[in-house]
Amino acid sequence: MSERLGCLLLIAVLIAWADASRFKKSDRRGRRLYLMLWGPAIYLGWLFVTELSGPNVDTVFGWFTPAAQRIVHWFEGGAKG
Amino acid sequence: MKQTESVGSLQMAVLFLFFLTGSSIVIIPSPLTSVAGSGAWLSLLLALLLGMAMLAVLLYVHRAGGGRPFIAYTRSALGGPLTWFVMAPFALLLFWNVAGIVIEIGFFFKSTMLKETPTYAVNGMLFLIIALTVRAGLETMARMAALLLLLMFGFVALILVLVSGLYRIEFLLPILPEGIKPILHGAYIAYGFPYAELFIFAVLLPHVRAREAGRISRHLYIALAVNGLTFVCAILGSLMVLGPLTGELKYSLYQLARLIYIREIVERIELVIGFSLIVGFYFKTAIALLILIKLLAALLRLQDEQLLTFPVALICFLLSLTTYTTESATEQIVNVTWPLLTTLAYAAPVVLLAVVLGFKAMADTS
Repeated sequence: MSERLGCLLLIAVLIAWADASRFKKSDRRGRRLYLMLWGPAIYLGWLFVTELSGPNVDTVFGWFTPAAQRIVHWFEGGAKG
Repeated sequence: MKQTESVGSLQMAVLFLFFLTGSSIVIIPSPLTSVAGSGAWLSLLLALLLGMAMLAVLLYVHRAGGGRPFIAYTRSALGGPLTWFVMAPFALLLFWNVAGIVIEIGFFFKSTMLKETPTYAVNGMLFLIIALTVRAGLETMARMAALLLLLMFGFVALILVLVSGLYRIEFLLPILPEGIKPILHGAYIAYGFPYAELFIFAVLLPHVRAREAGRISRHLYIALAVNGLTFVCAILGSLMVLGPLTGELKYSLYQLARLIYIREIVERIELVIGFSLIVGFYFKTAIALLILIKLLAALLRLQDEQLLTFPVALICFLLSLTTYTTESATEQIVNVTWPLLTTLAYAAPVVLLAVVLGFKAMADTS
């Protein structure tokens, strides 16, 4: 866990350092959107560090899996028959 | 990135070819052969035909857009709220699309070269290079693409030539032992990955220089044909050497490279070839990330799109570590759910846009 946290903090510091001057030059809207992007990054970082399985993009994709499986089963039905 | 980047039509076609061929050339022969057997190349040709039809729709929308940025003509055709409604899933899927390619590279490294290295270290290094490439901008990437494309295609051709001594034509038969449905199943997989993904190029096409815009259709069709031909060669080559095992062994081109042996001078060259195949993964991810950043900047009406590069790359990096962390789960999404997702999130908005723009054009002429 500490390895993962260390890795993530290092990346965050590097990004903050690399974007600092551009962030200062951007307008208020740009700054607000930039900071908003850190919301999902922090949530995903928390999932990564704690190794928990909270709601994620794959949860959304999972809603479509039953429909996709029905399509695939139709193809597989031909293979078996 | 400059605010108005532009590239030539040939450069755009090279990026398009790279995007379609990139990771797919390593991955696609295995699932296709697994479901369609020796008829995998027929599945690919069917999916390629669908790809041609999708490219026609994409080019129609691009022409109807009159050279304006994708989101600008989408807004004028569909209106602001509907644009958000169709583009939010488009962007969400693109986030995972970028992550998904790196997940595949991670598995490729994990199972072939860097077996003890933690996935986050591999993915982190890749995302660092990818983010820096994207930050260099479209024009720089277009200049890089030609050399990297030659490297990747050169090594693919080299593998297929060097293993030619092992080809056994009889492995190509029978083609349809279990009817047409396995072929259609293979076409379903290849349709989702990579052909339905071509719709994301709607974001990049307006960056073709105005004076070369007339040639873009021809160049993109040629690129798609070259992509199809390369896939067919890779599938046939894998089938003729590995036979039915092609469907069981992942990364069949890499497996072919392992078999290269020429009088103790040329052997165990799979690592050198493996790295050149990685180029395909890397550059495809860079193109997808560039498109995602341009899409987000346009949707959010942001002036400085470079500001988004690192946070968006960080989100994609974390998605690559927190979603589909097992190979079986990734296979499930790519082979089962991905074609449906790309149809709903990539294809449907562009087709809807084509219909609306078509009706508007008819109304204008009458």
